[in-house]
Amino acid sequence: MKKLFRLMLVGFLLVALVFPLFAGGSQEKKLVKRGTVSIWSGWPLLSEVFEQVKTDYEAANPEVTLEIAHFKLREFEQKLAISLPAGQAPDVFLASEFIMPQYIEAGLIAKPPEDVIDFVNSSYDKLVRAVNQWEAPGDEAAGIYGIPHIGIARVMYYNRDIFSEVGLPDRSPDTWDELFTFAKKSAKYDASGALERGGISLRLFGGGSGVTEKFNIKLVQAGGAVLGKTSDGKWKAFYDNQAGVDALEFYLDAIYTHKVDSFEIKHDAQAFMNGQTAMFQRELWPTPLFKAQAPDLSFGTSVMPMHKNRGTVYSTESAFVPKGSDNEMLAWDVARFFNQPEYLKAWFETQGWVPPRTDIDYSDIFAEMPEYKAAFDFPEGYLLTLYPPIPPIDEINTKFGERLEKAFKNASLVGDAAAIRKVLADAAAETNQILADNDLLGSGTPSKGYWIEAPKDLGYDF
Amino acid sequence: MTRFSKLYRRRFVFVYTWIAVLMLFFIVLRFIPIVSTFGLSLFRWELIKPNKPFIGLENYIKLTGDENFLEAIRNTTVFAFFVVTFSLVLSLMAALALEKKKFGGSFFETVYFLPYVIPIVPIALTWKWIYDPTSGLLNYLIGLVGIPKQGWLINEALALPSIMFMTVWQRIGYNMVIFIVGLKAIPNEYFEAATIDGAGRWQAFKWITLPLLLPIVFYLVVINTIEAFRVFTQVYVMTTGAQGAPAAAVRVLVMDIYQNAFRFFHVGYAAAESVVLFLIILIVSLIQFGLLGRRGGMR
Repeated sequence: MKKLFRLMLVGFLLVALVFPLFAGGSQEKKLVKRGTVSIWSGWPLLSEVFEQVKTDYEAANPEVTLEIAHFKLREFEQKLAISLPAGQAPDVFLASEFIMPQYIEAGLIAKPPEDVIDFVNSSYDKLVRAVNQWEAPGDEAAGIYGIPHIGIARVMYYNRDIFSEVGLPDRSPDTWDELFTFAKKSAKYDASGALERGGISLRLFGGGSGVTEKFNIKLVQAGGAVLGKTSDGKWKAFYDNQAGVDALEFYLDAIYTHKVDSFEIKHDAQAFMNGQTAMFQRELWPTPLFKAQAPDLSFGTSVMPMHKNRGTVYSTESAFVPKGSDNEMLAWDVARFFNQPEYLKAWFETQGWVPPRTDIDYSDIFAEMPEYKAAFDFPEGYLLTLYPPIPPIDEINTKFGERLEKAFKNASLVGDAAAIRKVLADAAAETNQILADNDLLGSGTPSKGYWIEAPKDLGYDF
Repeated sequence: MTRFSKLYRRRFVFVYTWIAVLMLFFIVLRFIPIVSTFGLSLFRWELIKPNKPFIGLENYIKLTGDENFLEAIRNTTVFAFFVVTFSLVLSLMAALALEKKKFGGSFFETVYFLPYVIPIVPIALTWKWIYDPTSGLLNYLIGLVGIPKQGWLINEALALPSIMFMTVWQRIGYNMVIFIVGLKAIPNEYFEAATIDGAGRWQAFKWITLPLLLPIVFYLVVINTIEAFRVFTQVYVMTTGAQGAPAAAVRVLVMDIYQNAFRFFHVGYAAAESVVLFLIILIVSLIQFGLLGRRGGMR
């Protein structure tokens, strides 16, 4: 018995010594087309094309099964936040660039293989590439971490029929003053004086960071932004200034002075589709929706009006692969597969999701949907304000949005610049505190907001 | 004797086996998470960040200066006070009216109880439409008598009362049924004796019905208070999300905990809020035990 035990002990030690010789060192990841690849997204409207992706990929690779799940955006972000650190994330997921820094900093996201990086650098527009650069611990320089799937600039929508009805020209307003002129002419009131048809639909409520995003459109036009970079490479609130006052006054004037928007009427794409508002600001996804559900709706799109600047919000979505996934190479293969032109064009045409690839001919889509051009064809000096790539950006935007919602409801702020400044100062104090809690608060005042000048020619073939 | 001992042992094993199973569920699903929450509240526990340092009571200190948290406590306390008061008073009135009713009593009991058995989400969605400022039923009805349209969920002064009203309406049925049980348990002889002694209906109610109903009142006050402090679903459904939803976010405690834990991923901070909520409910329940428990025959 003792002899047997000694033999077993020696055997175990030998295995323990020898095994690392075979298992040690980095193992080159190989693409093996076998297994299940799970894909998550926060956009259920992409499901139809993804079903085609699944059918086609599984037909071409019979030993691979794709499991695709779409969730509501906020639920998707919560699932991701819980599953990524727990190692239970899907093999591929689509996410906005501004929620990624926290995961990349935590070392949870895989860097793409060299051929994927080369593919992105050669096929995608310079804007989306510039926006999607991150550093991870141990990285020498920032780099691409995902395959960009969408690049979205918000545009202005206007109702051609309403403009024609009230004698306005067939174009969107060029400046803030002209916007109010157009909005006042387009607005309609009932017998009691209550607004029946809005002149412009602003994002006045709805919770979350969406209120802040739409406010940021006016901020950049006024010369501000939610955050700006300080000289020490950190961040600070960049709206407790004249730009913030101008932007907030714009909203208050729209509601209380010019009465071209109100809390009681319907808002956003639904209201525009039903002729209940003459103008609103959004991404491109309402365009195919209007064409499908309201074919008689005559509308146009354009770049944003000018105040001190002309500009809008720009953001992206990319396909990412978690680190440590068993199917990492297969996951990248799937991600490249659904970024093929036929699927990207299908999303572009049917959903208005703009694929940021310059090596695809979109001329047929632009011919059918000329409204899409406003998100690509930027005038000289057009500013694109971006979501700062820092982990607490969602918290900053959400809390700022809640303060904005309260301010929009406060009629006593109209014409009271001092009170408006107090609202912005209190909000900025909260924003800066969140930055400080995350060791991101810079010293001094930023010289400009977090925006870039839009490239004149992104390389798209209209 | 031996057979009796065997039987006793079998029963003992059977009873305590099932108690042990239930205890296991309780420990795993309740006790361990509660204790873990207390522990989490002492750390800067961020869902995504790898470093989770021990910070002692720093989360609790931060709560004392958190405007959102303090607003949530105010709103939740106001909500709990008015919902408990109004739902109990109205349900007692309904119970008194229906308890003696011979014809149609069951029908009305069913009608009042129905809102309680319907899940809260469809109820909240329906009331959201009733409160809609442009096409809601409520604004249509008040318009018939010349009252201008109101932003029931938009106006900050009206948003919380609107949700309270909906919650009271939903809870009346349950409270009423419990009160009816209590009323039926009061011997009729007491009322007969009171009538003979010349007592009126109000005196009979004050000196017979109410004191004998106190154990029921005590139970309902405690249960309704706990439920009211945990309000979340109707607030979430009726006042947040959906782009274009014309509503104001009414901040309540559980909503704030949810936002901090699952939106901003400040799990340690949300745990501290949860502990504070637990302590608030515990203190309120102890006060209620003290005020009503003795009179309700609990001691």
